[in-house]
Amino acid sequence: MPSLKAIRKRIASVKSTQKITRAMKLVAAAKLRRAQENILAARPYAVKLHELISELALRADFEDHPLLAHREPHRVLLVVMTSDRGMCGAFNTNILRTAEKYLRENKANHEQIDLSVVGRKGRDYLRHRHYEMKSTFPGLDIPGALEESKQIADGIIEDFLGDNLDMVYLLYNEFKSAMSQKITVEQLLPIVPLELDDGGAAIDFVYEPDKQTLLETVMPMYVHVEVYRAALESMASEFGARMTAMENATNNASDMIGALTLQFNKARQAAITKELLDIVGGAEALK
Amino acid sequence: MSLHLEIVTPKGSVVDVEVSEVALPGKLGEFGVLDGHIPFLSALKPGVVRYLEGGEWKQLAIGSGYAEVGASRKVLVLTQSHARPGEIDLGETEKELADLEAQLKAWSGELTVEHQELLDGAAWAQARIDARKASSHN
Repeated sequence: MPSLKAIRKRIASVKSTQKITRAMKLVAAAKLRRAQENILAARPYAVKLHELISELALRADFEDHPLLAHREPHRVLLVVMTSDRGMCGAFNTNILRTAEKYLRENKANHEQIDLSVVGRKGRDYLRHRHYEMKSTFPGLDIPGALEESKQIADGIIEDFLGDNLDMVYLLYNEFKSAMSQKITVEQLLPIVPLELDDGGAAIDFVYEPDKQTLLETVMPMYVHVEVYRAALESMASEFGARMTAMENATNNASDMIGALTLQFNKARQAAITKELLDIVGGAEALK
Repeated sequence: MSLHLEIVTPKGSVVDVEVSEVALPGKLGEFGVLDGHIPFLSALKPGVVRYLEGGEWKQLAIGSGYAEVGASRKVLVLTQSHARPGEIDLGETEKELADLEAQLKAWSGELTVEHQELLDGAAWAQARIDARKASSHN
């Protein structure tokens, strides 16, 4: 049985760990709220752009525009969104396992699958397993996400237009709730236009400069915001996962403190009993 | 009769007001919108949006984007970035612009994405300076 002092020390250390996990949970909850607000704020912009592109594509028969053209998918890029930090349960593990599975299963279908990785956890994991990565980016945070995703998107667009890529997928955790995330594979490029049902009924606009130029202006905007949205979803999922993980850790610490306190009391009682026995034994011997 | 002006960015809706007149920085030049305008879609370049709200002209710097003038007296602007004149530090922005222009002048390489980024940055800085100056005139 460990000494009283050792148990007391152990309790103190679990208590301070619990303090940390509780604080981390609160921080994650606050950040989660901000990420969710940002997702909601970005939604009208993304939806409107997508509608416009779909409408323009439909009206102007621009299916042959490079960003809309469906080519034989020889070279595919998979953009994997992970986080910089751990302590968020199976968040990174799940997404990376899906990425590996995807690579394994689709190897035969495409000539080449490139990887682009966001977040240090993903980069380290894949490097450790000797996957070749085309590009890596540090993990994103909420204030800088818009700028960063613009850069990521610009790089992708350049490669796509430069005929180095035929198809681009985003792989990220979609935020469902703090408890659950859904791993999502989404086609980023070529852009998939919406199915517009009222094709002929919409108002006929006057376009300036012309449909082609307009389409060229808005398509990169759409790719930007899609990457941004995926990044936000991924961040919200990360914070949700961290919140849940830290909640569990805090509860586990409570359980552990309970068990240790019991053990401490038992040890103390044993020590008292032992002392009493010693005293009684000593008194007995003097008789 | 009034128009409904809404300016939306990836960070949410930044302007959502009733106005009587709007001037927008179209790719082919500035254009004004009054009530009864035909349905119209235009690409926008970085510049200043001016709108007449309650008898007072207001300015807002925006990045590139597009504007949709709908049939139902609605003007919708989608843009990547925006700045209110009050948030713009004139000195700071002018320094930024001068810096970008110097880099552009020294550019000798090919016209790549980086070059385009410098051009965009300079246009955006210019737009903010214009918005700031325009708002201090009145």
